[in-house]
Amino acid sequence: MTSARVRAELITVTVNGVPHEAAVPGRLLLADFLRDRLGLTGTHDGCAHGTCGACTVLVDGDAVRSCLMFAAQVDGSHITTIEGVSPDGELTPVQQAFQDNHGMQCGFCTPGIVCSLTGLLARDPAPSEEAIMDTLNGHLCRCTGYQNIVKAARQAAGRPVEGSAPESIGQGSDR
Amino acid sequence: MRPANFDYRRPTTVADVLGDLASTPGARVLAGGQSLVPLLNMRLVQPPVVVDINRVEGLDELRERDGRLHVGATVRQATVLASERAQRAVPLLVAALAKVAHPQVRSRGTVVGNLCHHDPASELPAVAVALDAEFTVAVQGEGIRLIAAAEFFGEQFRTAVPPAGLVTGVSFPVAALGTVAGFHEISRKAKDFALIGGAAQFRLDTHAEVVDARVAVTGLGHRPLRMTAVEAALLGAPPTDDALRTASRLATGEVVAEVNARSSAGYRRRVLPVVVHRALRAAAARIEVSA
Repeated sequence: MTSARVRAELITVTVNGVPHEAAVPGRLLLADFLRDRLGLTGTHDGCAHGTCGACTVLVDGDAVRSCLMFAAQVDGSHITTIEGVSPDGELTPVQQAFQDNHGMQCGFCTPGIVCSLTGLLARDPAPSEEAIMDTLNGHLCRCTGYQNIVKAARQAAGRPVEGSAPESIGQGSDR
Repeated sequence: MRPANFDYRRPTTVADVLGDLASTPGARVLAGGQSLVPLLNMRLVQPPVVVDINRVEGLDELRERDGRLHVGATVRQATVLASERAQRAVPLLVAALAKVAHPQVRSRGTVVGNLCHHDPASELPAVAVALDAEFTVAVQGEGIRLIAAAEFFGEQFRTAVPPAGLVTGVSFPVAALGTVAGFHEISRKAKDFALIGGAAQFRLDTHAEVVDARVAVTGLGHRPLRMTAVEAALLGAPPTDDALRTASRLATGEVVAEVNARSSAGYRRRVLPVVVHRALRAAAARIEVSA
């Protein structure tokens, strides 16, 4: 549709507690809206097709890929990005656990993982090992620092940090 | 890796969705977006119009009616996976959903969207075929058309949904008490697309013998295949591991090499009985807890 004028959608969205109004073209990804329009560059853009998880944010409490939603779709929603997980500026238990366990290397994947775990713990403060692994399965760390990420997640969930992962990790449950 | 321009529509009624779809050939329906948006981002599809159905009233209903569980077009995979009602009513669907992607995708992804995308390696089409699911399709000027799962899936990434039609939901028969279900798949790495996957469900009669066995496999060819010979062989005997294995050896179906670049046709043919056996074994493992 090169000849037609592209319509803009008017949206109202609350990001990290701050309301915003914006006119967005339909094709603008939520990830780009957060980064380019709002300057919230803590949300990282990795693969742009839903595989890597770096762009994960919370939309109305659900961990979602911000590269697989359009800004036009979040009209009326409440969004939390990595910049908003700690409203008071102190480290949250998830962030503290990442620091304690050296749960990051280059840091590119970290914001997405912290958002996912924050969402998981908000819903279930004492998640099972399986639930933790299911959540971490949605994230790639190209530094391959998974061991320390798993430890950080366990600490944040109040579980023993050490321990070997069950064989079924990554395969889901056979229920 | 950004979509080409399109006109974004967000109707709130099925009638308006059908109007939008009918007025622009090539318009695409956006539900959870977990399959469509990657295609848009990679510009593998460039529709002139994208019709977002997420605010259409009534499509988010998950309810039992007339012996079937009805799943509306915008019901999230995560919602069904977490639903005790769904676990009781359609345990095979829930078993398969646990294998679909991960929480960050299931939070948006829909059951109906997954089925309509019809990836030939996806888990849910096998469930739909195994259970004789039924699709509700709204067509402008015609009303509602019902399409059985056996007729729904065409060649890979194609379905029997007519142009400008909208799948408003899918329904599955509610399982009888004591029904057990299992899903097993093989993938090259954790949470990767399946190379091949098996769906199995049956229940035991009062003599502890198998009745109503349902088995289907995904990943072999263009569409999921019912394993009717396996189903027949299971009937009327106790589900011992030997019986399950013997029945699984009857698994057969056309393997289409080009639908899956990650594994050869020979490999999938070779592991077909193994996958069926493991799916049946996963179901059998549920017998005690559900009895």
